[in-house]
Amino acid sequence: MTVGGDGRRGTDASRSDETPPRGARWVLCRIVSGPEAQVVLGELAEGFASRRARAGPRAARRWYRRQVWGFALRAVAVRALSSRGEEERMSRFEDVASDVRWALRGLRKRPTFTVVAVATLALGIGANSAIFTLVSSHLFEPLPYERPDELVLIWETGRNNMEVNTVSPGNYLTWRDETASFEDVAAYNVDVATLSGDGPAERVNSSLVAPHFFNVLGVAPALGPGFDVASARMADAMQVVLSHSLWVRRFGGDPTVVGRDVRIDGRPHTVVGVMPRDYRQPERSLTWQTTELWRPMLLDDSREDRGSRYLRTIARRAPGVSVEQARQEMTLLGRRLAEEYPEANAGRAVLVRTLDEYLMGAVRPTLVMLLIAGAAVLLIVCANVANLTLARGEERRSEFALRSALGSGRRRLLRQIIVEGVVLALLGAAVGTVLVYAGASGLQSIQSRYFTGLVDVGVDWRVIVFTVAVAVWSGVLFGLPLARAASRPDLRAALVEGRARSGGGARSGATRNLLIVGQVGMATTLLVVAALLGRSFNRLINVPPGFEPDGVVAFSVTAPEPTYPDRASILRYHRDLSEAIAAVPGVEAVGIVSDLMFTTENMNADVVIEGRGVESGDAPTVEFHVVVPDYFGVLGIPLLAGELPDGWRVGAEVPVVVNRRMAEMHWPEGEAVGARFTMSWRPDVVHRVVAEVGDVLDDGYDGVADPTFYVPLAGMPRRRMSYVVRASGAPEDVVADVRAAVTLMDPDIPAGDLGLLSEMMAESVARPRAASLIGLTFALIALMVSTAGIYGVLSYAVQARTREIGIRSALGADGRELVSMVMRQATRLILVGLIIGTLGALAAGRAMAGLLFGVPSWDPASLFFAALVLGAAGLLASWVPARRAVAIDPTEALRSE
Amino acid sequence: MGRSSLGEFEQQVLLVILRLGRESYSVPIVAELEARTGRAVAVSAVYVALRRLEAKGLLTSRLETPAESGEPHPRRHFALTDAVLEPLRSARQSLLSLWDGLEPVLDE
Repeated sequence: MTVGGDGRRGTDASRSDETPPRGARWVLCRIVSGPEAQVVLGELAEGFASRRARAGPRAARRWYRRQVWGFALRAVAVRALSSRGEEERMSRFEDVASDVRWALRGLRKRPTFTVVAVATLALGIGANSAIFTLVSSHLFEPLPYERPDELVLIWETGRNNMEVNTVSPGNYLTWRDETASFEDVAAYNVDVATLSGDGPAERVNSSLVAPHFFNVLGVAPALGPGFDVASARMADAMQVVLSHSLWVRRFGGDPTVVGRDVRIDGRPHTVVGVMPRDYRQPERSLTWQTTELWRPMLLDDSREDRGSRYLRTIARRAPGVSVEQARQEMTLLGRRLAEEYPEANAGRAVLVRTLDEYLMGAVRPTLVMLLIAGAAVLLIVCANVANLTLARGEERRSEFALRSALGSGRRRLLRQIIVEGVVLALLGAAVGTVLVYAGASGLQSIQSRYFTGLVDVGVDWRVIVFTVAVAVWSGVLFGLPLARAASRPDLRAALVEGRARSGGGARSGATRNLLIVGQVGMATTLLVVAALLGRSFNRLINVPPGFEPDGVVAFSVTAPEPTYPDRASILRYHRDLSEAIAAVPGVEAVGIVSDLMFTTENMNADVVIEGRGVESGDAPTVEFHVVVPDYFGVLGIPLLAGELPDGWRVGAEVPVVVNRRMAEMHWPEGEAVGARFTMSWRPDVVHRVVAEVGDVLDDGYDGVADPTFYVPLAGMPRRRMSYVVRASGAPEDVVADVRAAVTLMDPDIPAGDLGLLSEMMAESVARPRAASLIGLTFALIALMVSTAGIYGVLSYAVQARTREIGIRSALGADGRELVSMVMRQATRLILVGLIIGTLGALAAGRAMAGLLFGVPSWDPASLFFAALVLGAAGLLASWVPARRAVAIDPTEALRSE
Repeated sequence: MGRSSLGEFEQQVLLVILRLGRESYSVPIVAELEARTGRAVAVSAVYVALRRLEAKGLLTSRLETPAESGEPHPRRHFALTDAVLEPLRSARQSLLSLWDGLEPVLDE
């Protein structure tokens, strides 16, 4: 029997047996088209039927698939025959194939040219693939949460400024319970916890989260049930979810860990889950992205607390609600809360930010800059290879002339040149891709160190597609100048004059000059960008931070509640510890502070200044720290007025220290010392200013000194405090002894983040450092490639003028004159390039103004530096061939023709 | 490319059509080729060869509509032209002359 080619007969059961495999048939339909398609499809179906009758359905199906595969392999030939008028297309395919073969043969014949061109292209295309690998992970890799585009963060603003601020429990609960824009809202906070039992005590990054926090993110633990969301009783707060890394490190990846008890901050907690390996906390800070344990935070009893702001909130938008709608609702709700609770909420606004905006916003400008730098390098590389092929094209003039004499049309010649370019570029791309692939782990570490640990970097199909596209594009681009030059080969000139070239002809000479100008211009722009980034980084790390970090060791400790239940015991612990540390040999002084500078942690308070008649609702927000005032001495923060209080004892009034900014802002007449104020969340405690100290850049080099006051530890005892220790000698020498002293004081309290303060500060500028390093790398590549390009072109030009130079020197021109003749030409080109590059640099500088610190985007020093370096490199590149020209023996030069 | 020279596969296809009665279409051609040579044959290769032979003027083709054949799809029939005899003859001749005197080798 025979079965129709359309395969639309029979029941489902019989159909699968009696007709060709559907998938294969579908593929075949895509391959053959036109009037012959029905013939091919039908005859193949007929063959299938006869095979099925002879050998059974399975064999027939296999046969059919194999045939389709055969058609796919011969797709071009088959397509040509299935439509008529095919001969031409068929031959075109064969022509291209022969062009490719021809191109490969040509490349083999000129190994030096091939190696140089492929290496240059590999550099240019590889750099772009590497950048694209980084960028594509940010563009295409979704954040590791369920439907991440629905997630938003909700912040409040501080009073008098629009910066994001943490949220009070009362406001959070109102948001959670009274908004319609969100499916759910969850609060969380970052903290450092001490983990003990099962080995030495260890401080780990932890997070207190609303029990349904992971539900909002749409991520479930890989092991265990997670927090019991339904029953939010206090007993359940003694639960903990571990990160994958902590589980492996501390518990050896033991699957029975769920249900086990661990001690956190001295209290027993039950392990209820282990998060998946790739889970990351939705944080911008690289440190907090690696949060390692989560405990539930029960806030329902804090409904009345609208003054203490320490929560972050994440929310999932309800279906169909846009970010804008959510914003509108939150703005209205914010106004309502400000009216209802003016003391806590007046003067504050609510900010809704998408998670993506929050996490990636800081990274994107750098990535865009990378893309642009990569494109510029690629253009320089293309210009360079174009120059090489042009020079080679000169040698091939007679080949082209002969070919067109033998009947090769102009189009044919053009196509061959473009095919050659693309083949060359693809070779370069292949080498470049291998390099990128080999360096993928390096890219991953750049990514997680400088950008974000939230998405993974890898060479995937997108990178390959991008690379091939870039290669084809570059191949066409750098083939064009030669194609232009060769499309009208001067047949007579090439054949009659033979090798008597006159500098390669005015046309291609002009093209090459243009390429030189372009290269110099682009390299200038890149160099200026690199100089701007470098200078900006230099400015950044040389900003006086207001304190002296060198020679200081820092660490932090948390006194756990069960052992240190009250203010007195907490105070005693810190006092004993600071005395023990001070007794360590080599330690000069010890200070204590609630949070170290250059960390993202901040505590804020609204202050009501006595005698100002200000409603507490209008009270300004200022920052505060808890200190033992030796802190100022250890860090060299100058005392400007008054006398530092005792950190360990306070009377009825709490003595506080203000910084200069706060003093100037609120007591501009210099009357700060002696002034009194209260904090809005504890109006019963009066603070009296007893001293004024210098400003400190608390938020990093690029921050400003916020108005700040310092409360003595005795006035506000805190479990978690950071210690700063000044060593009399090298600070590294006291680290081990300090650690030992902390452990000796209480074996359950480890010293966390123990290290040199200066190194912690260096970490804070990792991103700008990366930007300037990457900028420098690209600029160096650009400088190298374009210098080589200038050199290549000029030495070629000199070689072409050998005869002329020989005649001139035979006629008595002296060496200096000849050198300057050659160099005049080069200097003109370099100058034009420098001017164009400077214009480009001005535009680039404006575009990247956001990345710069303390350097104007039109920074004259950077412009001058770039012009100097490129000018020098360009002149050197032209001087060498010029010298060589002079060294030519006139008789040799004349004979060479 | 010389128009008269025949590839080995093209030669096989021509001989098979000759055997099948001077006119045939792909299904029997493939079946006969496989039966005679004992090897699997790709239908796509046969199509390409047929088209090429047609372009060389050694074959002509006509379309058989479903109405004519009683099949649900059209078929393309290929017939040998008179021009085919010359290249086949010369191909056979050159092969035979190459083998001339070498037959004993095969017996060893």
